Amino acid sequence: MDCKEFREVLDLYVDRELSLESMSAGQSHLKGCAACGRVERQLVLLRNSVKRVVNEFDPPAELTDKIDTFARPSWLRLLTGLRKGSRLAWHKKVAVPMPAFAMFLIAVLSLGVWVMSRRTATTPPGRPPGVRTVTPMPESRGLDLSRFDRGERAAIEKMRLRNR
Amino acid sequence: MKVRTALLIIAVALTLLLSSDGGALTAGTRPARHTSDRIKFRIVTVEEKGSERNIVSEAVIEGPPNTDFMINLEGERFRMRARFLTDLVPPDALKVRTKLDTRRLYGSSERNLPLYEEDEQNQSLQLGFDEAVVLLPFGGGGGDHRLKIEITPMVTQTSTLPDGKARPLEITILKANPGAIINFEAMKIPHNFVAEVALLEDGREVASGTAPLLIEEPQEINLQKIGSSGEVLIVNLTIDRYARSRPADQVTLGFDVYRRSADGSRREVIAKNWAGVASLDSSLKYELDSRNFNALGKKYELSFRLKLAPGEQAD
Repeated sequence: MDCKEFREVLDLYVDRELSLESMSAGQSHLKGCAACGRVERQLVLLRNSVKRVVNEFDPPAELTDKIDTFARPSWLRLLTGLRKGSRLAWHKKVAVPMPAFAMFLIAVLSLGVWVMSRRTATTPPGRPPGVRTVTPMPESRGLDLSRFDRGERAAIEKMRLRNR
Repeated sequence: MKVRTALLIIAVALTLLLSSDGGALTAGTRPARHTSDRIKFRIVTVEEKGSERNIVSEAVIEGPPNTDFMINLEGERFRMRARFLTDLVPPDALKVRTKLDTRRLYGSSERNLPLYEEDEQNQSLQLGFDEAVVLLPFGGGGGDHRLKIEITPMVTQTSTLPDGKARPLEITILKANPGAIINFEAMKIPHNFVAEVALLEDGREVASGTAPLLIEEPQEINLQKIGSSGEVLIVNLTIDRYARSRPADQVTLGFDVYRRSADGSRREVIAKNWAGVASLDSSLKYELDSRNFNALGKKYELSFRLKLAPGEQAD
């Protein structure tokens, strides 16, 4: 292991997260390299100092709660919010103003009613779906055939004549 | 004197008899139909409401025997085409074959295209000249308001013009209908034909059959195969249409060919729904599969020759 390779894995070396073979290679390198030894000692000192300073102070309870909550699954977060009766939490989760949501709901319901009413109006019982029937209307010219048309089938008959 | 008077009376009587065609002596019997007879159809369209009858239109179609005519009803939402093929049946009857097509506007589709309700009917009636055909375009059931078309046939005997020429087909409108919704067509084409059908084996006739044919009516013609075990070849032939053409008029025909076993219990289809156009008095041939005759290597053909029946005229 040379200096370049050692500097690349220095953090892992200090955290003891390298494999046994790599740790042994790192130790061998430090024995022969004063510069890398100096850097390694500085890093260890820095980490120990940070740990000491951090452990001197306790975090605020609110911060602890927030972190705990954030770490939970989303369904548990929602359930916890409802159990606590937190309307504020519910509102924040939906993120839509109530008047806008109400209008959206009304629009959806109205559309559904319109679609259903259109279907029932244009599809009388016995008719294929989507077929609109024609209301018989008087003919615009000549003999008005609609007066006789009741939808029956045409017929042919024989008739005996009188006075023949 | 008395003898002379008697002779004179006999001579006058004979003269009268010859000029009246025997009508006075045979008052109890109907006169026989002559080829010079004309058939007249009085067509009256009637609107009936309860007991009231209002004649909407009236027309007369007159022509030689076997005149065909059409009555068309063209409304904005309803259309009817009624075709009548008439044939004189001796001694004193009329065979009327009717073909009725109706179409009624039903509604519209999702894409706003019109939808129609269509119907087709075929019917054959035999009428005496004391009967009429009644056509009900909108049916006859229910309601007291209906439209009827009454077709009354009658025979007239004036078939020639003053100059001796044959009278043409005539359509006379006695009362026009408002808006010309009802209109008429008439035509005279031959109805009676004779079909000669033969089975040819390598160009040589081995079976044949002849039968009279009425236009638009199927007719089975048996072709007995010579030297066979009694199997019969049957041709079911229909003349669908007659077309005037030059140098010879033509007919459109359709046919099926079957083989029937000797005992008549089995029928095997050899050809189904074949069709063609044949000129009158000319041969029309169709090749059949030789496997149907268990004789590979031989060529089998069906030959048709269609002629007008005796007494039938092209014009």
